[in-house]
Amino acid sequence: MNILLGIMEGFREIWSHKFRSFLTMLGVILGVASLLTMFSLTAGVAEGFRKTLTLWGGLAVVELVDATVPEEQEGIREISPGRTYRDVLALRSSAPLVSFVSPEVRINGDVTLTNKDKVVRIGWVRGVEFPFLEVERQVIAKGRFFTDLDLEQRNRVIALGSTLVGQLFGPGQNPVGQSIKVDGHSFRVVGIFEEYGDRFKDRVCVMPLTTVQELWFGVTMVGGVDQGPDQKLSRVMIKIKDTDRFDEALEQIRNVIWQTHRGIEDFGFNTRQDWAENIENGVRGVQISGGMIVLVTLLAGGVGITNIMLASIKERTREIGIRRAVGATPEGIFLQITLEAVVLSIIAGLLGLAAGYGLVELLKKVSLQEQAPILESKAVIYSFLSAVLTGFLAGILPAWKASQLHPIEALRFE
Amino acid sequence: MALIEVRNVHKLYRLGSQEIHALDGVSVDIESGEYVAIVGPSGSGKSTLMHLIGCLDVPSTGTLTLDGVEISGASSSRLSRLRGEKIGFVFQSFNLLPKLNVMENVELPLIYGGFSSKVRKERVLKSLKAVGLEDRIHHRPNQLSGGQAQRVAIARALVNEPKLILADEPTGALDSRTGETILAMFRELHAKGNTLVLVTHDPKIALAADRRIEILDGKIVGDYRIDHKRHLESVPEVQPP
Repeated sequence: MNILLGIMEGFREIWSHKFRSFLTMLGVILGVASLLTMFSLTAGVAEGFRKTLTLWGGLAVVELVDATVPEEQEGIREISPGRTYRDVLALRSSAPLVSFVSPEVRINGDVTLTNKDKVVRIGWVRGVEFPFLEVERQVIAKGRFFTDLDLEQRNRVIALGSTLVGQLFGPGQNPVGQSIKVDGHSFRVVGIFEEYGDRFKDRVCVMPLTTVQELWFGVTMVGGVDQGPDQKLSRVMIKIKDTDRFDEALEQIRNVIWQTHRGIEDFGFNTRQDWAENIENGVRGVQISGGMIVLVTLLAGGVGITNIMLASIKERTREIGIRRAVGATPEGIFLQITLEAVVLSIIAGLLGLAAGYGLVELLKKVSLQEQAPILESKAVIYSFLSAVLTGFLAGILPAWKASQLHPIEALRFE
Repeated sequence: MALIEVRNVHKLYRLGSQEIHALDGVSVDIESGEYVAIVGPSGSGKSTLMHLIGCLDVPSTGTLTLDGVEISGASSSRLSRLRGEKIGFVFQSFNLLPKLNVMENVELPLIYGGFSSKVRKERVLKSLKAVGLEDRIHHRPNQLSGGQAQRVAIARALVNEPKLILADEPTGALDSRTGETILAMFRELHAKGNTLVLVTHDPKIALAADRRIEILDGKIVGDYRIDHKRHLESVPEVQPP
């Protein structure tokens, strides 16, 4: 009995009981469809995350953050100046594994932007330097970014994201050269950023670092006495040259900052790699738990196939007897019934893929745009193979039973 | 050497605690080219003997060789292959597969024999021509008369060019006229040199053969050559016990 003929026999058998076969397959169809959908959903979430990550500078970006000082340094923590512009200068001159260092001062609380009668309140106005473009992968669409002169002279210039431009000037307008008020101070719009399609990134609002320091951080009152300008930076973002040498670069940064902070370990790093790892783990977790649930569905589908096939074998006892009489070996019968189950599950797998595809297309319409499900060929292959494997395993018991029928008994069966 | 050599064969069945001695020391030879009828009432053991000769089962004790191959102790797979190569079965109830058409039914032994599709097609057509049904190849068994169905079964039995054709009550499900045409076909096959063993409870049917082996209570009680030219009616009939 060769395989091809066995497959054709399988088709014939399935086709001669179309409705019953369909019901038999239903469990596997649902299993495959949900497996495919689950893979697509998680792939969509992971991809959405990856896009966001890239949008915000990619894996090479490290943030210098505050950390709790170790106990033994508790008493002397005051000798560290904290996160200041000195860190930035030190990194730029002494950390060759770093490509860009972007300091940032953030205005605390909401800031009011006004253009004539249009008012927008935002909580994220930042003072930055040129490396901001590199580190956050921002691109100026119209106008220019800040120059060294702007920074030196603390010019009152501002660059805006596309959403803010739309809100202050109307969509599609070119406000470069016009003035707006920022908390009452007059600023000239010098540049607007590209539209990225990201809710947060399109609401960016930046000014020269020095301007923000002068206008918002020029006075530090302690006990009614002005302590002079506040030198602290809100954020320091560092871009590493080569992500393959990430750990080495991180060590280098640590050494430099250790020096500027006078040995006080009041700093730490927030890497995107931790972030990425967390999300990837999360996605994998969902895939595993989802996979388990689907596995149960497939198992139920498999048991369904086994059950129906056992009944079908009983019905076909005489046929099996005849086949045995004319020369079919027990192995031949085993192969034939197994192939039948496999053919059944291949059909079920294909129907399941079709159903899953439909479901994914439907979900694309209702899910968040940046996390829309993605149909990957890997997922299609896995889902389909799991169906075939289910069918094969489900067919083993009926096939074994059929192969063990005694030809004489089988021929006598009415 | 005879085509079939049965030597002191016993066959025991266990039915619950009861032991049934279906064959009780049977020895017989059947030569190639013979036309033999095995006759006996139901329960005599003739079916058991046919199953053994047909490699559907193995003896409990004793030896049975078919075409020089010892079958006692052979595995289920080996018996299957022997059936496929050396034996063609014709059953009382035709035993055609209802889902397959005439052509596919006849083709079945060749599929299990592993023949190429070209050879299969040639042999099926040749075999169907031999029974006069070459114009019915696409019919389903349920579209055939009883006589036609049995002729398809004969074509299937012939298609692997077997050493032995085993017919178990081949006319049992047919009216007497149709039955006669089937017997005539057997005679024709015999004339062409085929070896035929016909199993029946009906002594009249048995008259169609050249040799008659009578079996009763698991033992051979008679073995005659039938002279078709003389005294057909004088052959004694086996009385049911």
